[in-house]
Amino acid sequence: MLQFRVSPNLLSILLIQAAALVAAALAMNALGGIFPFLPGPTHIVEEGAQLLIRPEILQDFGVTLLEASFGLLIAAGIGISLGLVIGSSAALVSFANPLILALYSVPKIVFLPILMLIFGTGMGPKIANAAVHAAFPILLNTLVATRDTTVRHEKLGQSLCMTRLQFATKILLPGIVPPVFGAIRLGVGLSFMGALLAELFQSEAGVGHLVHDLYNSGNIAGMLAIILAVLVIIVSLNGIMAAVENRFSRWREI
Amino acid sequence: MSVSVSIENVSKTFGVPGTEFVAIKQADAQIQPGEFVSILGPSGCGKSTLLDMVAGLATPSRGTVSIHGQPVTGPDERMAMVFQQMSLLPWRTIQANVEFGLEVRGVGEAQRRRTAREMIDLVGLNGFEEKYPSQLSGGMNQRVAIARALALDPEILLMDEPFGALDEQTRRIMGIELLRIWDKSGKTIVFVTHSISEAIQLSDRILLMSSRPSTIREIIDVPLARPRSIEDLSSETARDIELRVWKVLLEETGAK
Amino acid sequence: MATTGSLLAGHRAFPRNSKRSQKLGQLIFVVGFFLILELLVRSGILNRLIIAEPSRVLLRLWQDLFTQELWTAFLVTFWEVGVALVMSLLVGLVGGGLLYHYSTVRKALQPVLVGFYSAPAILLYPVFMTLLGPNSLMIITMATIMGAVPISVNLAIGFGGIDPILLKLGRSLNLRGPRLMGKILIPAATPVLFAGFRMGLTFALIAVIGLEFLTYSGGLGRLISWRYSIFDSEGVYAAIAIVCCLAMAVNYALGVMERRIVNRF
Repeated sequence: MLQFRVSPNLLSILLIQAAALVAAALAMNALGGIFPFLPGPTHIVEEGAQLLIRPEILQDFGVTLLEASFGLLIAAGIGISLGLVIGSSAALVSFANPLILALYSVPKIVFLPILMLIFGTGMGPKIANAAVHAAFPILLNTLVATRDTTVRHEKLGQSLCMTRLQFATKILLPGIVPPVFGAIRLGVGLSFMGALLAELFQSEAGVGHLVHDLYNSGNIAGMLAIILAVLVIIVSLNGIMAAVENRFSRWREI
Repeated sequence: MSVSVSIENVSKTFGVPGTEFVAIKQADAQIQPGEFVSILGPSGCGKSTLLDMVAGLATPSRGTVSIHGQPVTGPDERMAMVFQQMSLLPWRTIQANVEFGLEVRGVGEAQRRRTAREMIDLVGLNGFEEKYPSQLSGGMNQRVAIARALALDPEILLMDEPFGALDEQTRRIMGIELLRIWDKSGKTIVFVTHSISEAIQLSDRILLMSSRPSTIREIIDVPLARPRSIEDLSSETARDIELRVWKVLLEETGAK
Repeated sequence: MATTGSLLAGHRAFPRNSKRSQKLGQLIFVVGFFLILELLVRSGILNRLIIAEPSRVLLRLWQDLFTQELWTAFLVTFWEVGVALVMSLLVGLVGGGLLYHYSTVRKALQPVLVGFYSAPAILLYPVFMTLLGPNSLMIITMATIMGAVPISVNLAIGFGGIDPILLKLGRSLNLRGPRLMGKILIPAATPVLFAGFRMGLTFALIAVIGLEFLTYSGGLGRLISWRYSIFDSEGVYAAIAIVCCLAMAVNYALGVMERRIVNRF
């Protein structure tokens, strides 16, 4: 017999999420009492409902989405291939790792002026900034996973007389999928951050520009609604990626 | 003499009503002061759960565990535990690890230091005081864990598969060491194990548990003289006990 | 999510330190990179308006070192990063402890928290600017919020990763509340704490430099965007180099501290 039962754990999670939403709304209300210019939750929702059906607004979202996706794609391409190359050799890892870690610690925003000098205006610098933001975790995770998998299964490969190609396709690539995928998921948020930062600074189009505009025209409620929409988009993308990740890496301990 | 540990009609169920499962059902046993008792049973039968209830780390769903007639309601100063593996605090030296329990109980520094030295000496780890657990072997780490428990000078020592992660030879040798320490200190020891030969090597009596829902199926005396030599452990008496235990275990796990 | 934790933990498995010959190799690699860049710019293959020659940047850097402008900016940034780091660690420690203790709450809020710190938080800066003005207080407040959220989540995950046997030991000795925290939880989580520290630093730097950069409110971030706006490209590169050095130096110092404390056991 098939039975559907919501587990008590899931139920309490949903309850807490609902409670958090209510608490956030109440907090907004209370803050609105202290800072008069802060809009109440209902105002934000109303404003959001009006804004989010306007084609030019949706176009702004489209621009940012496009920039972030291209940036992530480039970051994944460069990060994974470079990570595989470096990670396949112990000597290369110990040579390159300190350099990569040093660069990793630098806030990537400082490279934005360089990217603007190189790519000028338009989508170019935004895509590049998104890529710079997302590339490092992908590169590092690929590198670490490649080295890890190689070291762990090297003897197995040798004992089965596997060729390099066999080792790469049968052991290495499946082995690095989960951590690399995890890094790409991290990269979703980071590429958005990169694109948005560039749009805020070089305000021409996209959600960053939109937020800037709404703020300058005094529409705080609209601005907060847009920010919430961005949060919803990122959280859902994260959720979708996590679901895909779980589907493909069930063997991995969590 | 009064009974040291008394387990009376103890049951333990886990989970919420409706989906609960019975881990232990009506276990009964009495342990005398100074006695060395092993709890042995098929894997997953709730040996550790039973020990946790004695230690006051878990509460029985029904029945009572009492120490000298007083029911156990929580961790008690008369008992100390030795855990399965790597329960040492990796950021403390051996000396500081052995002192840990005393420190928690608020014993002064000088006293603490002296007691810890004695215990380190007792378990044969002189000269390792300033090392860290990661610098010692698994067997040595378990000696430290024993010293940490003994430093509290408990009346009853509760040991949860303390040598479970060690290789067979080290395990044997640790057993001999433990018996030497037990002989000197006269403590009551309750020892959970899944090794039949270890139980025979060490205990006065073996509490043999059934598989889930577990109960104490048999209490087996080990009438071997002490100190037990290698010959004693491969004598006919020892082999008879082993055979008897094996038969019960195979029956319990459904194997032929 | 677990990824951030494993990513940070992953670093520790790999050598940060390399042998002397390797260090030399790394130095040659870096110097060689800049030499080639220099040649490419001088030969006109790369546009000197876009990429400044490393030699000119170096010269500018040297000149900058004697200016009030640079040191004021440096001190402002350093101070803001420092205060934000300490604040976000304190808030993060409490938040992490709470999220660990109420693990259902963590499961419920984690997706939103993780989503929040990745990008939308920075979008809130106009609100904070209106609330507090374009000053250090605004930057520190935002940087603290942006840092405390990921630190909390990661510390909670880290606390959850503590060997349960150590918690059992604590219980068997009747350790509870703050004493359990002080004697077992915090020392056991030291590696995680350091990972949190490192993360806090990363986020404080991103937030502080990013906000200075966006709001022109002083510090090295403002120096970069100011120089960019007056087309002083070698000045931009010099300021970027200083930020890079600051980030690497602080990170290196943290690494040394971490090795001293964590790798001892």
